[in-house]
Amino acid sequence: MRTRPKDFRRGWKVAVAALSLAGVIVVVITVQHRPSPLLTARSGTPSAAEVVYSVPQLSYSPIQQLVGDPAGAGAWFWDYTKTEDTVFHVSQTGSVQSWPVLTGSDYVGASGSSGLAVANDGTVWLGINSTLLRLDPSTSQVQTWTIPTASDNAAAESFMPPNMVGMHPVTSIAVNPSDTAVAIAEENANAVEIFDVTTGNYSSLALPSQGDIAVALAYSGDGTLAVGLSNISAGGSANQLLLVSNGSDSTATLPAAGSSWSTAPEGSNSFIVGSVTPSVVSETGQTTTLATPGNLLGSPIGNSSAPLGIVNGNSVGIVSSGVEEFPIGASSVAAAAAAATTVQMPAVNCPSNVAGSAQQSGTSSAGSTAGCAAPTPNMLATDAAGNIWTVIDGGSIAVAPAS
Amino acid sequence: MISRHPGRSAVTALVMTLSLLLLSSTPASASGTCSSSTYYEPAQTSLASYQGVVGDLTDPSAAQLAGSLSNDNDGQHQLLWFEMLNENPEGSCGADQTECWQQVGVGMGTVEWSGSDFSCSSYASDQGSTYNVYYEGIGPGADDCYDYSYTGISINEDSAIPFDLFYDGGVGGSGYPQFDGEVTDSSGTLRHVNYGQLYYSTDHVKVASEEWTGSTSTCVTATNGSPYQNFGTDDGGNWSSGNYKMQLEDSSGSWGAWTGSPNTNNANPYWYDPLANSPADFQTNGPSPSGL
Repeated sequence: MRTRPKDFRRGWKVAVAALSLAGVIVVVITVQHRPSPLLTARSGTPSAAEVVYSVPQLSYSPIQQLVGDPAGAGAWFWDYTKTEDTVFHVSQTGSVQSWPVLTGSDYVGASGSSGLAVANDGTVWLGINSTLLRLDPSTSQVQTWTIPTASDNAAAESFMPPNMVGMHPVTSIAVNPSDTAVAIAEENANAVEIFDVTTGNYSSLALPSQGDIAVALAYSGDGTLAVGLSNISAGGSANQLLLVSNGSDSTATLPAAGSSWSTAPEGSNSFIVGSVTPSVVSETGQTTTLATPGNLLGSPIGNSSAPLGIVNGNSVGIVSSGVEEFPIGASSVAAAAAAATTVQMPAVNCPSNVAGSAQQSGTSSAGSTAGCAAPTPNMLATDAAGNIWTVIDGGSIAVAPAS
Repeated sequence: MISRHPGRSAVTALVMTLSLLLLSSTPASASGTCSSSTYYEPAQTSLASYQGVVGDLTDPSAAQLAGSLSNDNDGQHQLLWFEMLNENPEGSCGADQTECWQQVGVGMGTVEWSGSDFSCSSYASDQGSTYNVYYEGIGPGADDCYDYSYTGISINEDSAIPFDLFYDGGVGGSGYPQFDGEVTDSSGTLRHVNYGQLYYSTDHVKVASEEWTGSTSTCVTATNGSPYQNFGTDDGGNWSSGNYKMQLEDSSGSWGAWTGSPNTNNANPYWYDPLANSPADFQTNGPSPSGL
């Protein structure tokens, strides 16, 4: 058996500390990254991203969700093995902490794309199937709640194989700015569930039309909830945004199909939506289409991690060889292109890295990345310190500072 | 990912051969049309336009795979998969711009670098007696093939689990029809694998097994073999040991057993003619009341 071409030739120091709190055993793994000549691509190019961590491939699946740290430098993600659901935090230097949050009989195998969000108070929220989970990283305490069964969306379920009808796994979650509410979107459901953190109770936010499903969620800085909608009865064009503020609802129609899958806050009172043809949408539904460099790719393959972000006041989107940063207020495509900066991804899957028996025996040299194409990221996030985070090749985390 | 399309086969074989030569410890290729470094693919492809497929895949370690492909079980790459395929889309998918696909399968062994027109290599690692589920696809406008192995979802040796790959009724983030890949793991839990987009919501469905071997083998055909590989389900899309149908979702959104008339004539490793005796053709290595 040959091993996989890419991966983990870096040296790691692993320290494992077992903590026990409230009956929950949490293992914290600290991994020290040593930069590798192979994976530190294009030295001298400040806009090149560097892989700082790769999940152990032989035990973990591809990274499920990635979010930037809202409080500083770093990123959060979650992943699973056959027996554990694990939350990770990775720093700019590749230091990694992990919390196996659902293990043993509590283990949940994700039937949907799941949802991951980090609150302003530093707690981490994870939704998998009908389980809502809160991790306090400072204490390693884990709390879980069962999400109420959603009402069926007949239009969406008409496209499902028989064994999926009646299932409503979580597809997205968002935490409000005051950390008092968690919005939860579920597959094939007619409503968004709102979890009251203080009381532990749920309430339902009905979607405007029977055929609507919620495909993305975000809270603005002042607490307005944006729900990305796709009306399956009307062709599922995913081009509407429901805006909910203090019980006052409005709906914005977006200029491009698929836009509502990518919804993120932009400032305190607006949202940026869409990964290929992005727009800024105000809390009252006013929509302004952004001028972009014209080469944004979105995410043709992948789960629902928003492939568009905001960093240092600029927009960041996925392009074929990396990510591109461009000003939100550009007056034209030409102006956006002129001001754009591309962050290239390091090549991690090259012919010279192909696993042969030499590698298998551990005697292979690092090889060269010459001639390798930079991979297209499949997840994108930005942190509060101005870093751009990506997942490439399913299991590697790359980071680059924004320009 | 191994190229499995007629237009790419020669290039891929060449690249694979070159890749092998780059590996100093890998034996050099033997000559012959269907020998070392050749990619074998008994495939079963629909001609009609479908928007989903539900079926079952057994583990890839069986001695006999789809068609008459014998599996030497030598630890080399071996995959079984379902696929939705768009041909000649109005745009690009990969460097050759001819096809986009979304694929869900189970595999053992490791695919070597293919590299002819995209950066994609499967990592369906063998973990002893279990074999990993994987997802692979290349979507509209993308140059890269995405290929993920789900180590957390595997299939036990000599067992079978249901696979679903279907249009979910809407578009994805890039504005194209979105497909959803799901499997049911050994505990009976439905597991989400990935989403992917294609240019069209309906097009070809393909089911195939493939092996890439470094040793000399005979040419394969896509005729039935015995024992059989079971791709089957019952009429509700559920697998059991006595079922051998394959469920397809038609363009109206209805699921039903494949009762069309594909045929197995003129199958060779690089071209796939449809099968003649469906749905029984979809059972190889599985139980069969009729013995087919």
